[in-house]
Amino acid sequence: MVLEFLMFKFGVRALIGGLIVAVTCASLGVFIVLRRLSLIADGLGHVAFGGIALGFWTGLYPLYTAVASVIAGSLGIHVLGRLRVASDAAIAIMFSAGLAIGIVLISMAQSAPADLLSYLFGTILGINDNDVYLAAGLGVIVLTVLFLLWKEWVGITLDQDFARVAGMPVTALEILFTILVGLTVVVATRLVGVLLVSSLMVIPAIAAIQLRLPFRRTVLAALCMAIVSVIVGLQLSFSYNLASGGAIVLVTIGFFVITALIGRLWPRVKRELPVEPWEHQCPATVCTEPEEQSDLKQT
Amino acid sequence: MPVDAPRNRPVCLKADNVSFSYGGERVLNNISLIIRQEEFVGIAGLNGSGKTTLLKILVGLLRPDTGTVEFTCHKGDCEGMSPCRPCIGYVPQLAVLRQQQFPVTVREVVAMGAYGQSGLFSRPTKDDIRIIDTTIAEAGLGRVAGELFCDLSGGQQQRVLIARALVGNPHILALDEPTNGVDARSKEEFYTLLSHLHSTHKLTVLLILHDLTELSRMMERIVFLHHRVLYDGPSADLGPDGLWNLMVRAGRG
Repeated sequence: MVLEFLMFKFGVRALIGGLIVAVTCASLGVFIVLRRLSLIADGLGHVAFGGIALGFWTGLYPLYTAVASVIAGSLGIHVLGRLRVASDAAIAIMFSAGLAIGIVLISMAQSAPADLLSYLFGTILGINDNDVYLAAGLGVIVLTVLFLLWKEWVGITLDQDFARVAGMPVTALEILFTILVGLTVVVATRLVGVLLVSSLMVIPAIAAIQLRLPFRRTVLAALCMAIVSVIVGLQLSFSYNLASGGAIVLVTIGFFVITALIGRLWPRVKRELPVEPWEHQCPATVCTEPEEQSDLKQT
Repeated sequence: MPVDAPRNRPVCLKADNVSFSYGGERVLNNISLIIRQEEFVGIAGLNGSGKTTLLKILVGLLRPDTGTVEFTCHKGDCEGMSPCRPCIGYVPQLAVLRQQQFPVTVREVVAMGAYGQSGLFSRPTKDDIRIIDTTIAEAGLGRVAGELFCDLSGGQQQRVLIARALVGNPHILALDEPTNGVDARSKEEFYTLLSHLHSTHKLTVLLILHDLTELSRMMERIVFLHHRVLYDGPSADLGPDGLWNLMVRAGRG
């Protein structure tokens, strides 16, 4: 039966949690891919792992310590950037630091906590109410900031120099964006695990970009593919007893293969598009004389 | 604002003893420049002579290692205010935006031009949308407004970028090699447009250009750069031959 996992409370929780994660990840994903930051989600995933280990070691709720660690990690990447470390190298440093701290802390805890594997590989079918509330809270924060500053994100993604000249606080926005990515990583950790966290952000976005749609519709397409991936992945995971994180990511990869084929089989022919000469040789923004304005209305 | 002799026009950009290095390499050495309102300035020089770096410093994208850049606005509400970035319309090298297949339409690119002035958190107002629409129509881009930016030819993309800069109603237009990768017809059209913007609408224009003939024909003033200023004066005094000699001199080091 389709979606029979919804007959169980854990199944409903998994679907709600999964949908929150899908929407948050995919909305950020297009910006991440276009800004060539695909690796940042992966790096922050490993930083989150360090935070989770810190949670186990100190006895705090691991996702809270993970939130703290990704915020620290996001700032760390920018501090390294300021020190003129190349951005990929900065991510590699945070990546290694997070993982190393995590491993050391776990070894200090003597026996590895039983829950640890679930953070590495994700267990969406085993999440509790607390996880869902945290995911919902962080998801709402991330999506609200994303929506309120939409034109700023488009600006710094499309053309950073232009955004800077136009007076946008580009550096502050970049740091905020990295923090948003970090928070999203934490939200997604429970679902797909630290190791696959970036896939859920990046792959639906890459798949959507293959469709060559306008910007908003590209984000919407990524969103739809992520949502369908979560539902189909959960169903597969439940029916065939597969790891949920892996199943979901494999569905997203399926989407990528399909959209990439669509892009290749029906490539857009580069054609000369119809463009008229520059009217009156005079754009309206600078031509404010009344007669020219009335000219405009007639055309 | 009444403008008589060029010398009496108000100063809008002033660079004082600006130096800049990438790593250990000095790219700009003690550059001092005064750009007055309504000037039409061409920046020339060999590849790697620091032209783009200088333009980026002038529009505020890079901070000089030493020296200062002052920008004063003489237009509209923000008269005299400094800094007032939205008054600079910046048209970057086309290559910057061509790197990837960006899923963004012509309209979305032009709309970016209105972002800077509206401030954080704001949505585009009805006025913004009207200005964006008219600029797209006037730029002759009405029929391609819904197409992807990356599907356009070089000349058309350049038009989109200029339209984007004009949406912000700038005081200064700063263009970095705007005719690179643009066919001859579009180039001609582009020069006509630029002259029109300058002569009729009193825009201050700063332009990096490779084409020596065009430089000496169009510009009222030429700044020839080779890590430092080799020439700064009226283009009429220099002529194409003088410009060519400067090129040769710079090439010899």
